[in-house]
Amino acid sequence: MSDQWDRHEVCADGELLPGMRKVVTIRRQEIVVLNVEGRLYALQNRCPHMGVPLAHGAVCGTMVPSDPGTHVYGCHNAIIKCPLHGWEYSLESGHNVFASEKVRIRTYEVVVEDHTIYLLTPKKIG
Amino acid sequence: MLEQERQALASGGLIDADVHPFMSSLEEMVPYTDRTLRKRLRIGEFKNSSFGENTFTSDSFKLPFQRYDNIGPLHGLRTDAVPPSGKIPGADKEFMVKDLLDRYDTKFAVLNAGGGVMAAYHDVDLSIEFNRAYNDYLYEEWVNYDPRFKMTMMATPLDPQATVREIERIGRRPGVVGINLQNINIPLGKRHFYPIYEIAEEYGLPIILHPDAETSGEYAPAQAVGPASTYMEWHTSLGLVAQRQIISLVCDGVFERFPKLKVAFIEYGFSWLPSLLWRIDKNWKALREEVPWMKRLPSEYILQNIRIGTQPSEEPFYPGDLNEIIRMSKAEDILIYCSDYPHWDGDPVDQVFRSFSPELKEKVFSKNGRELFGL
Repeated sequence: MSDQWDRHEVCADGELLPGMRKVVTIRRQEIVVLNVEGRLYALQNRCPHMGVPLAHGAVCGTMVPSDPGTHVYGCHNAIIKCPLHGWEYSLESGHNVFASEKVRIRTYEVVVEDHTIYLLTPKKIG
Repeated sequence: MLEQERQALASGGLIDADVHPFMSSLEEMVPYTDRTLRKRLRIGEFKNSSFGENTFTSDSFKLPFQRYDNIGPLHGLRTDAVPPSGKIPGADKEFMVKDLLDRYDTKFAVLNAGGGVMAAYHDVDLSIEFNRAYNDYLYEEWVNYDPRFKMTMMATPLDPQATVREIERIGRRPGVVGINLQNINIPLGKRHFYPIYEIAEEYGLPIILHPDAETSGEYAPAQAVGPASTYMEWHTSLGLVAQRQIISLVCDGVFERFPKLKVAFIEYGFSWLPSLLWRIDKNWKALREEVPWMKRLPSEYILQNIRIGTQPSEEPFYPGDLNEIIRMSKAEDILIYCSDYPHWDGDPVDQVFRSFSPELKEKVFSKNGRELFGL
């Protein structure tokens, strides 16, 4: 793994409990690490629309595409919503979920080893 | 007409999507009414009959009062369109053919009711009966008079079931090319209208909206903010009605339910399009959770399902900027030329859009209209 990835220590796993977020800066890029119901995500802390920090966005579900006049809730806690204009991004993939917008935020691998949370960045650009 | 226009139109011919026939009096409808309707309209044998021998004039039925009255001598009709017969402009078929169709080499002119709109009238039953008779009048007297005349049929928006029956009755007649629905105070996206949309889609007939009910009747759509003070204020505000209705249609998912439906807004201008398209797209990116049935950008639905009449064309500070407006709104395939003859605010085909390229002229003056109306 170390051949391909740089490891960056985020914090001890006890410092990022479910519902908590932590912003780290790696090579002048802010990355927000989130613990959502025990699952860890890391993504660029900047909405490409107007540059607002996503660390302040709501983690939520949304109404998935449906027939006219019907609402179907889904993607529970799999989405982060930009706090400024509400653009929705998948926590997993970083895709702007349904907007067919050619917009995507960068996401990162997160691992826990020896009770420490590490963020992985590709070696060539990390 | 300029040679450039002639060349642009050589392939398909000029399509004029808004021409108004007028009646000299309601008596022209007598052949298309039964005795009961004649009594209600006080025409035919019931004209001036209140006291038997024309002693008193009870006068015929008053069409809905137009509260915003054009200040011109003919209430908004062109004085240069008064026919030699002395009838009001638009009431003399023979003259209209010469003054409009022959003069501008019009291939097809779509007739939209002039001065006889009952859409927002309080007595819905009378409105239904009137519209049925009016549609027969328009068909027999005008469409059958000259093959270049096509018509949109009057609908009764307050009674969708009755409108469906009327479409079933005459909607497949050759020469009936659309449904003149009219704006009332129920937004077009509401399910109230879906039975009409369903049959319109099935019959391949576009819905058209044209100002009239905005100024008449108790069920008129709301004026933006509040009532206008003058005709000028009212007329300038019409584009807001179209925008509001397009927003309603798109956000309520009408074009997801009826993907082949076309809805054309005639006589609301078009220079507001960029603002509408940009604003609705931006809001959808933020608020699509409210309207999850919208699976594409709202502007994509608008450009696919909405059509816009060009008249009254806005006149920018720099005339050529209309080209920019069209480019900014990707609207070259949705604009359809309208003369609005014989109204005061019309656009003669040889005068408007001189800065358009031949390709754009071909679309606006011909192709887009042919496609919308199946001509």
